[in-house]
Amino acid sequence: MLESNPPTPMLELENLRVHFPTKSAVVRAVDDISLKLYPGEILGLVGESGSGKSTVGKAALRLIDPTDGKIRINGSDITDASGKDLKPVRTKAQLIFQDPHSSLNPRMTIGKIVAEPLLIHSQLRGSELAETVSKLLGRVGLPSQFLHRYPHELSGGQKQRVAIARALSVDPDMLILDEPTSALDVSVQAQILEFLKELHDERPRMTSLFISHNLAVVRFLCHRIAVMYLGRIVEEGPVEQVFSHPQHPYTKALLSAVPLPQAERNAGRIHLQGDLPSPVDLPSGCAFHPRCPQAAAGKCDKESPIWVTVGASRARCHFAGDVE
Amino acid sequence: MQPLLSIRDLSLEFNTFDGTYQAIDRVSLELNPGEALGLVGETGCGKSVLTRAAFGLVPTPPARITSGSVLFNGREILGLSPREQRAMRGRDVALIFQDPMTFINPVFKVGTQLVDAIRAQQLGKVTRKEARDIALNMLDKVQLPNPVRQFESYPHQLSGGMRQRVLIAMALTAEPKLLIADEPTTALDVTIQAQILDLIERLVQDMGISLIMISHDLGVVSQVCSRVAVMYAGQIVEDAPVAQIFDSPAHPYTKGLLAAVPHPFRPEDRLEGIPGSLPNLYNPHSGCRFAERCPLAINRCVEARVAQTEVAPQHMVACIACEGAQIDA
Repeated sequence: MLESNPPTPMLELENLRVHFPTKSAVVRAVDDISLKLYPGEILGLVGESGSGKSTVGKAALRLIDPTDGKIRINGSDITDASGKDLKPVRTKAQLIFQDPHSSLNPRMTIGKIVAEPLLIHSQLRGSELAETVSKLLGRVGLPSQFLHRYPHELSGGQKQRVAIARALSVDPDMLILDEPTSALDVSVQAQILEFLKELHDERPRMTSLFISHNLAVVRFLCHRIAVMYLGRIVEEGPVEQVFSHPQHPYTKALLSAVPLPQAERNAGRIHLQGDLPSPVDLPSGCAFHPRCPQAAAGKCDKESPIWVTVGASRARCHFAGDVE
Repeated sequence: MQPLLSIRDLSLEFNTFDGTYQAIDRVSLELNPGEALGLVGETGCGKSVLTRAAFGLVPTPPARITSGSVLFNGREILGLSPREQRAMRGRDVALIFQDPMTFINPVFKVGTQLVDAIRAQQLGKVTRKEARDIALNMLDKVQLPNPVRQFESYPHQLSGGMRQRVLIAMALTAEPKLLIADEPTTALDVTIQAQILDLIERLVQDMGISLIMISHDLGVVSQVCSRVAVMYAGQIVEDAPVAQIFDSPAHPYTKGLLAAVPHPFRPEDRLEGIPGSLPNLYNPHSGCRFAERCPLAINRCVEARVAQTEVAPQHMVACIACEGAQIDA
């Protein structure tokens, strides 16, 4: 994807922090994250529940206001943009959520749901609008009879297609997909993933941030991957490299925990002890050290690791790049 | 060897306002003592209803068992009185579910609930003090960190993985003959899922418990089970040793399911979804319910019940296209 002279990133997050103050403490959901997404790229953002990946997705479009840091979309800074200034941004970037049942208004027909963004962002009305809506439904593989149906009449996969059609209605350059296939059965998930891949083949400028906990899905769809742990990115790089030569012990553990068909099971699983610590009370030094099988006392529990570049990827671990 | 559980020709329907929904269609399934069986299928295929119906956990009405028998340890258990069924559940058969929070009472301490469960299982023959010792011993076995402290905790103070450990402890204290685990790791993160799967595998082996693991994830099942039965729309379409299912799936639905799952280390160029959707089960034909979505379907598929064929040792397939075929293992 990258050329020698990189173009303007479609999305750029710089030292992004999102903190939620509570009565007793501050939850550091996102803590100093920097990311660049270039036109045409699909970046997979993975992590376990509570790692802050969804907060990153929402903050990138200012659905949640960041505590600190910068957000640029296609070069323009939207960190402090007002509601009015954000309106054109919404035509460039759209969000798709995990549960299509709760992201579609149950009292609106499919036709109205897909038309709503166009009523806000375009001048299309009447028969032109109706025609565009049918075309969008056709594009996501739904027949036009669905125009007059309600969300409860559709299956999960069909509802997710409606959510995608609604997102595509304003012709965005960027999609933020938050676990779009997690609620679906595998045979339906495969169809949605195939569709997203086709969409990217068709539109070379289309850029996606794909938030997921499913590593196999990320491997299939994404060009690059960023692994989050407790509000921070711990490793980032091209999918081929991160999957074949993970640097961070957390990435290694995550990859080894993916259940595989039995024939291939023997490749030693790395056991992580315990659960994710609370984001209110982050461990000192490297936040992963209490669960890390490689942690060195006196180093990992004291010093916060800096980025170490290994080939085309980089990891935030004191031991990244060391030959084992 | 006498099978521990033998389900024969079980059919079950639900009476609803829209008509009779035929959820389970003449399912036969056997489980030998000490065996770990995976029951796999997508949403709505009947995998949970099948196991619950066998042990009297589906309310009748609205459900009605229209045919079949269920032998547990050689004894017919369909038609037992509710009291007899309850005595069997908990002691001979234990269940754990996807979302532990739904099955633990949020207003009682973890320890209190464990003690109550143990005393109920032992029909009140143990004192609270003895039950407490049994519980703490079991919490230790499921590797719950700090068992004495967690004994006094409320469920909301535990993480998802810890709650699932408590539920497993509760299920296994009576040393049941059979554990039914219904999507036990679906709500958990992958690293926690790996911990819980290892725990279940180790405990059932050490204690000599038979296992039925219900899951939509073929990968999860392959971690723990030696045999897999694949369900589609209330029918079992394939039943085989786990390696056979992955290396030489025979039923078109199993093949479709496997082709739809992306592999983390061998990326595919494209994934094949299975076109179409589940058939209407209000008035199904008597043949193979996958026929409408099957690339190999012929007229005969929908005309009559499709019998199971043995295509390799212990590898049963209900598909006309596989009749007379043999697969080299």
